[in-house]
Amino acid sequence: MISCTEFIPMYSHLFTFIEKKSGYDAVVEYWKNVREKYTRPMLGEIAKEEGVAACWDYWSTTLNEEAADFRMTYDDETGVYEAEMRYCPSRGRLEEMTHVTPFHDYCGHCRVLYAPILEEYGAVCDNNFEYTGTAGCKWAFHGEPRPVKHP
Amino acid sequence: MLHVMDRRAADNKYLHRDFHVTNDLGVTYIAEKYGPEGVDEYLRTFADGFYGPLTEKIKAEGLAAMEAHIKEIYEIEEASDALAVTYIGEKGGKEEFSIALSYCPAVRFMRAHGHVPSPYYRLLTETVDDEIAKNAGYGFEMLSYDEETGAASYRFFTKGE
Repeated sequence: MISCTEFIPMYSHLFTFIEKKSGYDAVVEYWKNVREKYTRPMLGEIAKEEGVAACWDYWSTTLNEEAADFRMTYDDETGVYEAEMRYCPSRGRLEEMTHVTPFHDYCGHCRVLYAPILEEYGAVCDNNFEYTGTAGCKWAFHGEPRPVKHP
Repeated sequence: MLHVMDRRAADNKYLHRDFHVTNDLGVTYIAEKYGPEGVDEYLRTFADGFYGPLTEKIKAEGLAAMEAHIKEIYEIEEASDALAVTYIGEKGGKEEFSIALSYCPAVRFMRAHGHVPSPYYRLLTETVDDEIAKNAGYGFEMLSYDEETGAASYRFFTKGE
């Protein structure tokens, strides 16, 4: 078994493998495949019901499970969601491994996985995982104010 | 109302089990796009790179290093109860140990969350461990694997037995 704690280097290797075989566009196609088969059933279901508030309910679960170093806010009166990843556990782990070469656009998968789904349900993306250096990034959405389910 | 969540990495344990599902989707995608040969190449090149340091450790310390690695993985996955290791022994420069798993925590998680593991999922153990063993100069054999639970038995051994 590959532990889920070893998944990140395997994910990065998968991107590298596909690019070597079929080019960068094929990697993006793969990310779209993951979006439809993996992200949509979870995030899509929440977003369908909660709109932009889904950002809070979705990432408050996943970022804690990934032991991320982050700060995020959601204003349920203005419908503005903002997040800052101070240190991404995935990108950070890759950077720390001296014997593994990370895929050159590892962070690109986040830009494909989330925003297109949220935008289908009225959340407008203001910042789509802008890399801020040292395994950090920012993302933001706004939409019709809705209450969160898990404050 | 403004909701605020601020977390440091140390606030949580790093154990995002959904990654098992993503891993299975990954190997399935490779199988659909590049066939069984592609899966084999994908997993073996991953093992060659990522498990390079482990391979070197096995070369230096013998199979005890592999045994320690497997035990550590199951501790991390909070599934040490699934694992039984039998050290057959070292004799005349040859050694062997066998693993018996009563279940695979990844398979259990995936099924509990409505994801049926693909027929390729077992290869994340079978092919990857075979490549690690081969690179370190040892043999690997999968003796049994239950698709339903991931229960399995396999062994690592000095070649030439």
